[in-house]
Amino acid sequence: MFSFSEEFRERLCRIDSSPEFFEYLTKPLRKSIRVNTLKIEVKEVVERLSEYYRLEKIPWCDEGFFIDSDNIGRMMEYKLGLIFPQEASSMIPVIALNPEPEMLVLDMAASPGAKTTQIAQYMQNRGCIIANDVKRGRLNILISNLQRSGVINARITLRDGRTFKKFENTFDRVLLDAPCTNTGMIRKNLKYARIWKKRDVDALSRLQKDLILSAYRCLKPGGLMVYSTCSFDPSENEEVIDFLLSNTDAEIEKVDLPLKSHESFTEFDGKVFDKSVRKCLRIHPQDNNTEGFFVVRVIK
Amino acid sequence: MSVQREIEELLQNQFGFKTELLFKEMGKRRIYVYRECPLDIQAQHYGIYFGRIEKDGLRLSIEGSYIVGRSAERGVIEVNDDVAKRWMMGDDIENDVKGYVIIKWGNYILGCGKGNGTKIRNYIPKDRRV
Repeated sequence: MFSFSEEFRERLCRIDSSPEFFEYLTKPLRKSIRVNTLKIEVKEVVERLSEYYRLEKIPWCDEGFFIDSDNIGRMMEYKLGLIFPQEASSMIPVIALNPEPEMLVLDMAASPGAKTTQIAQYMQNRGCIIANDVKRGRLNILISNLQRSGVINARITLRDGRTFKKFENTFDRVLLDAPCTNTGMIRKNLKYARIWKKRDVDALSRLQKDLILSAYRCLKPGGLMVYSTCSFDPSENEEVIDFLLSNTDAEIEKVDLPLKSHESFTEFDGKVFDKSVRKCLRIHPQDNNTEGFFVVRVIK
Repeated sequence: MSVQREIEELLQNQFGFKTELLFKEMGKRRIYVYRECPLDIQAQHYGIYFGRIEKDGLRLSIEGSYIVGRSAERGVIEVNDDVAKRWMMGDDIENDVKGYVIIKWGNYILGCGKGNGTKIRNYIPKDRRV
């Protein structure tokens, strides 16, 4: 049985001290897929897969299904690019982003590309996605996933996300799925609990604040941005949103989807946040039996 | 002739397929398909591998086959369950067709092969075989 460090456990307890939270943190994660409607209709894949697997529709995503398979990567549908393995809660940010055909969309931290391919799918391969990542070593997996999914409307860029502020008032939609401590993904990989350090939380929080200001600046007036992390930590979530609200005229819009969630933090570590952070979507693993996620929809 | 025009003509001749998509050549006659982007930004990469111009026609990738196959007027071979299974394992399949064809199984498009009058040679890349 894996045990968390004292410091990490203490921090987690301040976020959620319920037995269910700790129980689900170490529970195996359900596998899920998203049907790639750039290549095929949902019902056509579901019909065939249902002959071999038990599929359960993900309530908040029309193209998403839980599947009782541990070998998704070996399935014909995967090889042909008809399905994309994607954790159920990680489908939420793009649903909240609601990209449409012909839009100009920025995916600021795109690799490995699960959300980029989901964006392309909702845009019906029309318009343009700037799929950016800061690390050259992460571009190949992004390119490979865009290829397999048949995404033809993306430009792959290699930039520090903070430099996008120079594209002021440019994008219809911006997705900032920010680099984070990945604590929401502990169910997938316990290493995120092993490598957790408070100083990483602080450093990432500073970076996230820079990135969200850059993302907001390059958004068109009237445009929509989604900020998301797979971290539980309020320093990486509500505090970052509070920083955005304090420094811009941004407005938060509630993400209304058929799922359970936890109330957002209005204060943490002695800091009091803007009341609008109550509209943020905070998902703990026990809410919907998924990974942990934090999703916010921001209007400019 | 420009690559764009050359691909448009090959698609029209081989598959009766008309398109407004854009094509570029990336060396060794490898063709990529993409859409225009209104933003002037330096990109590391854009477009996906669509196929390759061979001496005797256009050989499509799996993604190229998907783009073309759904509305192609000709050059599409429908296969049954057993043949589809063998094709996805990388086997050539018996058929009297000649030239490049798209393989279709129900609503699934299984890539492109080349017929020589007795069999269709399999071009499914190894990492995408089942």
